[in-house]
Amino acid sequence: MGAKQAITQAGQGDARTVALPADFRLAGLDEVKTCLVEAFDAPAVQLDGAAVERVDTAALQLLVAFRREASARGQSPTWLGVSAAIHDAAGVLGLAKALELPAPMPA
Amino acid sequence: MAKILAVDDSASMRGMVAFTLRGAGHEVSEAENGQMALDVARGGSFDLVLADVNMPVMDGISMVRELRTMPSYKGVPILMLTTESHTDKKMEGKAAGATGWLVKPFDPEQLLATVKRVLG
Amino acid sequence: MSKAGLAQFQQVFIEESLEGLDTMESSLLALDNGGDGELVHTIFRAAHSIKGGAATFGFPEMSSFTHDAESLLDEVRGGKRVIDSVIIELLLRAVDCLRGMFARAQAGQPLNDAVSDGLRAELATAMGRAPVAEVKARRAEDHGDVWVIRFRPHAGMLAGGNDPLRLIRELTGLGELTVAAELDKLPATLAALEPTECHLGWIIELKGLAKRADISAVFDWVEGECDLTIEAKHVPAPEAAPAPAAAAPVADVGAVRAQRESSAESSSVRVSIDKIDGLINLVGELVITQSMLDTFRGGEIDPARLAMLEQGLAQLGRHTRELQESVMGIRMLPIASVFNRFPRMVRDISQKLGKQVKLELVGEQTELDKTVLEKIGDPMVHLVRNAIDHGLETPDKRRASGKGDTGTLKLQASHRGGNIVVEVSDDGAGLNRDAIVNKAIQRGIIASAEGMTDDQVAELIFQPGFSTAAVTTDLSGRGVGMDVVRRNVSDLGGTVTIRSTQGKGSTFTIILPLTLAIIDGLTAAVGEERYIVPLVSIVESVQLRAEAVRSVAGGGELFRFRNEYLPVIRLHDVFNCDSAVQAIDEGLMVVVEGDGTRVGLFVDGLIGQQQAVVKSLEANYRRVQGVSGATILADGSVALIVDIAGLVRMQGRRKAA
Repeated sequence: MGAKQAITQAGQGDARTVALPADFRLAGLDEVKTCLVEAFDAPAVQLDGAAVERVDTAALQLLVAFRREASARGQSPTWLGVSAAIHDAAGVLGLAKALELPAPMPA
Repeated sequence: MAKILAVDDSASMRGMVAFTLRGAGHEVSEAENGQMALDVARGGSFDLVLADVNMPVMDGISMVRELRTMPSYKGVPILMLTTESHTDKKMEGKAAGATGWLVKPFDPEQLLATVKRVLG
Repeated sequence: MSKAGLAQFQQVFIEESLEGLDTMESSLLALDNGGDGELVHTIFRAAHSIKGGAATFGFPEMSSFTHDAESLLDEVRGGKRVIDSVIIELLLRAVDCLRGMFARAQAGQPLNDAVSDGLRAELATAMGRAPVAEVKARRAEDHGDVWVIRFRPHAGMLAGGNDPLRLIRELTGLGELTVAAELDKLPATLAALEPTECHLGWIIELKGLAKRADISAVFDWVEGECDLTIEAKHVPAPEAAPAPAAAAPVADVGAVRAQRESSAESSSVRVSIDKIDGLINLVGELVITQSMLDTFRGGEIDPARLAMLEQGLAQLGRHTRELQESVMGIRMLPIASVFNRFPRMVRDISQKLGKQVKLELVGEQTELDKTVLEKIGDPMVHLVRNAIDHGLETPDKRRASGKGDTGTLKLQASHRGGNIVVEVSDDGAGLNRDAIVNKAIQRGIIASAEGMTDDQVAELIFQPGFSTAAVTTDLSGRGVGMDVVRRNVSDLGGTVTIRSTQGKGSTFTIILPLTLAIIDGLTAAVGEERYIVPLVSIVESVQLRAEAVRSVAGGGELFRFRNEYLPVIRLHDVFNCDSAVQAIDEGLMVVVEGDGTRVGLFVDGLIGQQQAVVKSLEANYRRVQGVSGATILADGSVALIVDIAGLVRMQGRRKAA
């Protein structure tokens, strides 16, 4: 369950990276939300979803809400990495576009 | 493979559930009433909880209500093992926070199908 | 994963259901005596478990029977119905009926019979409805080429464990999906979002031949937790063949049944974890001792280490003994399961006889061997019936003797040494010495009671064919007398005695060995053979002068022991042993008591005392008169265990012949 603490914020100059936990699901979302809210203060944000193994609707909803507010603020967060689990869930839920996911890497 | 908590005061029913799930490769913990289940649940994390409704000491409905107050059990699927005669029990379970139910009697195939349905 | 593994749980289910029925019965009786409402919940739970398990483990008949009883209880529980003695009576009969069904289940017979059918009808009548099977009308299914599903979860659905991700993924199994998420209800700021609440909605188009019911089934758990519409986009196709009825959720009965027959044979014992842990500990210690002893293997033993070897052997001996006790302990079960059948019985009999009886149970947790436990029930039933029937008086008579209206019947169990003592006592009229003496003279059992102590007179009731009741009732006067009780108890290697005070009451005391698997005995030599004489039946052993034994007419022999003459049983005669001692003064007379009768057992000599592990002769050979089993001696040879009560009976028959 160490995955829940996997959220890190690394200051790279002015850009900030939010790493999403391996278990990215409802019970652990409060922490991620805090990080994401704080990330609005940074001029540029990168989302790292490479480590995500388990994801649910609530988690993707959080990311959608984040991106919507970011674009309202004129920001455009980028994806540093997207795991297969995120691609798959976003596809099923019809949220790939709203999340601006990069095209999945061919296997 | 998932971690599953099976709660039933009937040793035969609990045994059958655990046996079936272990046979499918899951890791199963057992508890014989709601109170014991809460103790077990606090000490570990589970991907799924299967609970009988009528049990001594603490029934399944109260157990679900308690489980849902624990932050780490928000969103975790909890299925009530119930009998068809209790539509109101199903609703009571849902109101307490249960995810769904598995109607008794069920056979191992139905159990596995339902678990697969919940765990994806 | 196969169903084969399920058979083991079927047997567990039967056992726990029988316990559940005991609970139902005792709770119903407590309720009848003004117990509190919690009892109703207890009864309901027991019925509910049986019902749920019965269907799962392949007994649908039992399940539907219990369903009726459960529905009745549910109404009581829900306050829709007041429980009264009529309902209690009905439910008690249902408990009996279910016990019968379980017995038939174990015997592989059809579960329903006239009684269960009749009772079901009564239960249905009590519920105020006709006992008809419900036939659910199925709505015609409509079909569509494309289904449009609008799905908007309520905020709390996610926390309840129903994830739209799972639900929509499930729909992918039904056809080709086009999923559009609706984000309009999402809060404008991230801060305002409560992550555990759902603010999304979906419009899903499903292409394919899925039926509406299939789609609804995906959402069955979230009814009331979301807004859901399922619409056919195109004109519904005309109704094709009627949809096959959904498979009833019943286990594969045939398969489970087949296994039941094999599993019913092997009875099982439920063992507490504590006992198993204790065993594991002991085995652990045994392994340590063994590895310590292993160091002595090979080579010569250094005299300096001899003390260590002796210590190790002593430890091995102690652990073996403890292990033996613990393994025996696995078979030990509390006597409560026997005691628990009496509240009901006492209630029924006392009502029938118009007597008021208070039953006291003491020492229900006293443990004894499962085999003994299973056999102690019948003698106890007889003693209890006898106590209510003959011992306890009607309220009028009790008042006349200055006692309270309600008589007390007490069942008490305790451990005493290596034995279990079960007492059945009442504060009734006690034995009537004159009535017994008269009857015994009339039956030709004694010529006169002169010089007989009260205890000796009381002993007479255990004589075959003795009955003191003026009127034979249908309760205990079924031609089964106290002699049968004594025989049953002595078959278990135990004794039964009576203490009685006229006007104050009687106490029957049954003393039984804790286990039948091991007995303490003396090894006796007879010629080349060795016999084990159970220690409990030995009174004394004496060396006699030849003239102390007198022949009597008919070929028997008697000798004087204290102030009575005892018949002699020559063991070498009984078992046809060669080269045995014939002369009385060269052998030994072991005075033993069985069935309340003392005899002299003539043997060559006694070799020593030992614990004998009893092996059944019947299981390995066949039943032999005068022998209760066999055991293996330290040198590997086999010795027969003498059945004293059996020998006494054989002797009695010979005398009568």
